[in-house]
Amino acid sequence: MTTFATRRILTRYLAVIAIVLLAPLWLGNNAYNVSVAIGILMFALPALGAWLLLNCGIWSFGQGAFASLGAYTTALLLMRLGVLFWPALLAGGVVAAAVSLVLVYPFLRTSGVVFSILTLVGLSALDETILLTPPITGGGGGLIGVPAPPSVTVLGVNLATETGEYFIIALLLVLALAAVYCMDRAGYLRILRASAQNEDLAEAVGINTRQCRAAVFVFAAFLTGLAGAFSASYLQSVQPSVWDVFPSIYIVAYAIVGGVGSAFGPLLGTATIIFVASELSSSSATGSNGLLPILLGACLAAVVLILPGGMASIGSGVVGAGRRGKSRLRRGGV
Amino acid sequence: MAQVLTDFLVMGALYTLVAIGLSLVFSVMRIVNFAHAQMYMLGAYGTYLLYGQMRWPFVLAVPITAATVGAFGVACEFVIIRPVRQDPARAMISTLGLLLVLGGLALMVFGQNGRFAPEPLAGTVFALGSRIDPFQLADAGLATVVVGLLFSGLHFSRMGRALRAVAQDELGARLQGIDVGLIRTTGFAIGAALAALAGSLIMPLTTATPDMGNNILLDMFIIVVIGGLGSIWGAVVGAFVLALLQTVGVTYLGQFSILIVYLLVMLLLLVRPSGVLGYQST
Repeated sequence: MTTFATRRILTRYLAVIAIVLLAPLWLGNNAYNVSVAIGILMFALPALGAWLLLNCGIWSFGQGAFASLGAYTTALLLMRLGVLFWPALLAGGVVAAAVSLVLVYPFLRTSGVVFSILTLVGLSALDETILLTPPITGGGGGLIGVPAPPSVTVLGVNLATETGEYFIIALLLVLALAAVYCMDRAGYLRILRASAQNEDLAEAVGINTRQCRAAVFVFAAFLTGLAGAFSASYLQSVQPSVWDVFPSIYIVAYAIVGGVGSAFGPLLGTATIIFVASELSSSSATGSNGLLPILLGACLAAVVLILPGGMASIGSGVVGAGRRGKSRLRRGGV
Repeated sequence: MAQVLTDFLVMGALYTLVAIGLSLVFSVMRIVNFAHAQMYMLGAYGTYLLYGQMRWPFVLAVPITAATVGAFGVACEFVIIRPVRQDPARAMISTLGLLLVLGGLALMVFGQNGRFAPEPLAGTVFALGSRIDPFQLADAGLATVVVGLLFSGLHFSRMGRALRAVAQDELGARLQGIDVGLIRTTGFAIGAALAALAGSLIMPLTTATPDMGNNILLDMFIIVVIGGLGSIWGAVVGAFVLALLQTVGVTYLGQFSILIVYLLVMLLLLVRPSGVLGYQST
């Protein structure tokens, strides 16, 4: 039953998943390279969530709030209650999704710019709450000494090592990509895009745009919460500044730079920007010397002005041109 | 008490300058200009360079900084907004890119540490039974004069009426023979200059830091959405409401006031997305 087109889509997903999982072979044992790669995937996961939101026409600049929620949940479960690593990680995502479920319907009463500003204000309110509750969250200093993943060897990789950490976040991203693949195959992505392109028309053909957006918002919050939860355990600390306003803006920017049209855009955008910035500055992936925002901002403007489809459209643009050429030939034949 | 009142006036006046600029750009161009916050930062650094480093008189450094940033705004409008002006979402992304680039450049050029310049007016003034910094009063006064000039300009000058016409109805304005492209550029330049002016005026009171644009980003959005996007009067109201909550609120409610501000703003937006004086929400 699988047609050529669907098999090609599956092949692409499998290829990207293979690249993500096989990257440690290329990175080797260089701890710095692996840490950059972890930084990339840690932001690619929320960027995938932001990408889904962009596809249904939602601009959320407050995704960091869900990452913070996930990070603090997991950190507190690991430190105070001694919960095992995997359940605590999952709980981070679940708490973020639960909070987003409470917020999403009131938030979706607004749209456009007001929604974006609402997400920004919501994130700031959460940050402020964190600062005001030092007994629980450690306030501005955050929580320090979050336990690392258990020192268990799975398939020859110790999870407590840098490479092990890489595989944990890679696993989360691969599962998320698999979920997006299923959404793609089920035609759900097309429904999202329809509701973004013309809401009235989408409603007219029977799409419940509000519910679609709500579902995507909660799923994106879940992915972002997982990334935050992972960051708590990987950095062995939680600080409100890690998932602040600007990281939240970066998350959306990575998705745009990579390309809103392709599910691999978020990973591509995040990987390119963070990799180049880290190569140029040879500092940490979050970058405090201004290089990362300059690079990201320049790419953002360049994508908007020159390449609306983002980086992912560079390759497919060639393919698309070829296809157009063929169809023109066919039309000529008739 | 008098100090809190002065702080409130200065903050309200400077917020007004920033917010009016943002609102003006939104009403004329229908885009949300994220880079507006960095014009404020550029104003502060411009004043630092001219007044703090090169020892120009403050009254000369401020207008020249504002004019230079206004000209820079024109260049930005031509390069990053004009090509995508048909699509507000894309224009918003390119201003977001400009925000990140300018913030990063400032960090690279000036470093993380704040740049300091002495206050131009020495001495103290006694009013309401306590000491008040005369420079703060001068700041508030100057900002009020500029806002007054802007309002009369918008209402009585040919250019101001053209700006308001474009804000109300672009097609109608075009039919009246108004050069909409020129008006958009002018609006953007005025907006940038106003933000730079606010940055210039506040610079001697604090320090110029690469984060100052990033820090005012949220405040400026809160102000314009409280007042209603695109409403100039709304921006004034929003600026003073936020300044009131941040000065008097912090004094009497303590550290919880900022959180209360955020929660109130969220509530306001959920109940009335178009703001207090907003005529539309886009």
